[in-house]
Amino acid sequence: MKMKNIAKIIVFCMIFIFLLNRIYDIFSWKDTAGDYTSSMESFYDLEENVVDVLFLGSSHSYCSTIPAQLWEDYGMASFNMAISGQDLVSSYYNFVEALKTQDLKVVCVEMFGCAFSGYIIEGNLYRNTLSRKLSLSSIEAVNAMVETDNKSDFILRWPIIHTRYRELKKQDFATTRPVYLGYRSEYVAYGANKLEFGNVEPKPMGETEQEYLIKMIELAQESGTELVFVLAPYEIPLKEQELIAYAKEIISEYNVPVLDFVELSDEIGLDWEKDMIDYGHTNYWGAQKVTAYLGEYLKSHYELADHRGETEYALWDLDLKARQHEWTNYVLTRICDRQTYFEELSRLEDYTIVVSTTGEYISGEAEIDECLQMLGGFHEFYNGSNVWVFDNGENIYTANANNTLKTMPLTFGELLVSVSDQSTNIMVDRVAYQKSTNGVNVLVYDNILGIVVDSVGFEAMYAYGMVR
Amino acid sequence: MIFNSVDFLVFFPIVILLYFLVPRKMRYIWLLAASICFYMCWNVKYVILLLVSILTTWLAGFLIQKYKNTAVRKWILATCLIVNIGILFFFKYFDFFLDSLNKVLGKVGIQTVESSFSVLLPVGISFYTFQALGYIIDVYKGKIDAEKNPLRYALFVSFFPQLVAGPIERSENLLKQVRNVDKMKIYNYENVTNGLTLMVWGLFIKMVIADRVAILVNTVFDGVYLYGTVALVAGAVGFALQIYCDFMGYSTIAVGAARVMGFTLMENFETPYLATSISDFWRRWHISLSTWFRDYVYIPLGGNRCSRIRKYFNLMVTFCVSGLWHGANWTYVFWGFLHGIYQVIGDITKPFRKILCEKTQAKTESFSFKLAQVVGTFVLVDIAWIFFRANSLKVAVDYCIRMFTKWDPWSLFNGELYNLGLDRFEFNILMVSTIVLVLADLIRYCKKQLITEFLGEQCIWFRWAVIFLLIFGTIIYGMYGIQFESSQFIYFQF
Repeated sequence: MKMKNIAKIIVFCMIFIFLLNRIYDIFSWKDTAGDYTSSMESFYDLEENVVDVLFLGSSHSYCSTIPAQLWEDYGMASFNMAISGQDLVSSYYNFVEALKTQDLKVVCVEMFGCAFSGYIIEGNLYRNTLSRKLSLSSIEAVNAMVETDNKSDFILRWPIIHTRYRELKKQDFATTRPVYLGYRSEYVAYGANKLEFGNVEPKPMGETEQEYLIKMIELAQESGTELVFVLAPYEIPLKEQELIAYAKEIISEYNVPVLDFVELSDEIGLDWEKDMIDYGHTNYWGAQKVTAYLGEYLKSHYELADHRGETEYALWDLDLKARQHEWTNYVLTRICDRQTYFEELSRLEDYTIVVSTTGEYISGEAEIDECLQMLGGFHEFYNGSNVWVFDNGENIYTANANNTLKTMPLTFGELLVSVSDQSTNIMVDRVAYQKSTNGVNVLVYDNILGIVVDSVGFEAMYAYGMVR
Repeated sequence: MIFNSVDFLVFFPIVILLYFLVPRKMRYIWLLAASICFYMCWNVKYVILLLVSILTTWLAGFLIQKYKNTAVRKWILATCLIVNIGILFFFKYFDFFLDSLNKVLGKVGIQTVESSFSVLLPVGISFYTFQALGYIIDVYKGKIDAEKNPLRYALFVSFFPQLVAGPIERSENLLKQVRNVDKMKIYNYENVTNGLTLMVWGLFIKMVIADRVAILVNTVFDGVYLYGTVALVAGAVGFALQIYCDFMGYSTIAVGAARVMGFTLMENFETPYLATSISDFWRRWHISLSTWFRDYVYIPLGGNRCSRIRKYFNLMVTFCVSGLWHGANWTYVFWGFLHGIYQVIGDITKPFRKILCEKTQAKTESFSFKLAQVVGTFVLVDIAWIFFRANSLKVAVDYCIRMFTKWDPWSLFNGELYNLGLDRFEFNILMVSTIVLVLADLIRYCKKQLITEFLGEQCIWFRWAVIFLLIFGTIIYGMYGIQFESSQFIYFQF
């Protein structure tokens, strides 16, 4: 064959592989139902050998352990690699995956996976099979987890993910992601009940679950990783109590510790009515209590370094900040009083705040003027339409002339503000945020989480009452 | 193993790689082994039927050549035809025959005949049987020498790219290439790249267009009585598109796969929906089958060189048999009958149409006149397709009646079209990909070039851009994978 033809084939193949790779990145499975946050994607973004403590398990795990809290209190570098519906098979293969890049000191496995087998929810099967990087162990995982005739589809992935052409969003094309160490705060309170463990007769778990429970213990022994089994608080039905009791018996044979937070719920001060999102998962306050106990336990039983201040661990600082922002955002979005709202706005750091006056806004209205002055930067007000943009408390843009239009980059998007004769416009990623047509509009954008936190209006004709 | 499957994605590169690597004299044996393996992927047992067909026709060809006595040769030919057509009849038409017989017996009050067994249709039986019969007739007529090597002959009949859905190859073309495979320069850059491009093109039109429009077609044909004119026209036009893309897609992949290995198969389609008459349509649609019927049925019956009545009889017989070849159902027979009638009426009215054109001074060479001819032919062909696709003759007739009487033009504007299984987004994908197909057909029609020939004339970046668009268009927008049962190629059942 001529050299020219060989060169053509090589170039063609290179372009093909490049395009395929890029298109695969776009189409690859993403947790669209989970707002595009995936512990696996975040895990692959980590540098090597930075994680000391790894959490595995299902949603019970990622709802109950807060890496940011362990970082803030102990400087513990932890990561929650839990996935919704993760069974013991998937936990085992995540353990295998983590060992490829991390020198783990302790692995905490949440035990809900002992109480079920297989995947009833199709989305969970995808989460647990398609989120790992393609490797021999991920193929092994598919073989172990996929019971249907579609194994080749799960291994090749394209037969499944190509159908995503119908749901692609901006996030699919993004090359950067918000910081996520496996926990995101939930502030809903459900009102659950504690179901006591009575004299439960252990009943055998499924053979596969037993096999992988033991495989996980053996893998920990082989890799020199300390293993801790954790049972997060949840209303445990009797059948599941029996299976978990059986799992505890197996675990005790290997002298592996179990932290049962159902039993410990009184000790940690868990309020079942206020600290649960639903019957199965702790909310932010419940997770704080579980994490506090867990942190103390880990600190007192294992030698775990305090990494605070180390440059390789800047991600954990950022995560802490992100979680603090989540709390701030939660508080902000629940304020319904104008005065308090502007007081809170004036204290925000790492936020972009856009204020506009629009329509028949009348300057000199004392109530609103007083509030606006709290943000600073308002030297004078103009009748008609005006826009002010504040970044980190600093007024970075003011527009009061007609037919002005300005775009500004945000953490994960673009801000557009415009002023015309009788109106102003505030848009983030081409979505308009305008609650008041005659009065003041405020948009709050979180620079750390990269999201629009709040959009409120103060309507002139309702005495600048708050509209959300 | 269908072409648009993961199995074939693994099978084909392995076969090709080893085909290029094995010693010259082993090439045909390797291809034969691969072909048998390919066929066995459907049903191991049915390979016996394939082997019987191969063995009987090879032996008959050998004996016909050996014996000079015409009577003996005729006897051997007849025996071979009876055996092979008998197998075809039994496996394809037995149930249909029994069912039809029982309907007649039931009407005259005679007890019906019950079958104590069920017969499954072996995939591709019509194709390889016809290919083998074509060979034996060619040997009988002295057009070609009988093949002495049974393995080479077996490869001719079972060559995997065209084994299950054609093109139905002629011994003069394919057998000659099989005989020369030892001497053939099999690795040729142009052949490989053109062949692969054809395969990609075939997969694109099958997986992106045919399988997508099939959803709309199935919705309409499964609910004929729920829809009015607009939906029924969409269903009928959709089926015309589906069957073209499905079958043309298969043939293109087959031609491409063979091309990669250095074989040249006959083209099976030549822009059939741009035909200006029904006879023109049949020169462009399923060319390998229509020429087979022309050479081995129509001409032996007397062809054109006989009285007008006899000619029409020959036409009707040929098209009715052609309809029956497509499937064991009266809908197929009627489809063939309709095409026969079209041709007969076309022939009878030809002088009148000519006079009409002269009287009205119609510009018969103008674009508008040709366009009217193309549209008219398409309408006739499409009406016949309704009978081809419908589950029964009654449903097909009702379909046509409703299509012309349940006038509901508002359906074009109120979004009802998007309730036929394809939403607006999917519909747009279908439209865009169909435009690509139309462009390719126009190039073929105007420039008489295949897509590979046209691309070969373009600069490399344009060529590659088109190929990448086809590859990624198929990977992304193709109908395959989990939750989607890729429909088999329609012609596999024939």
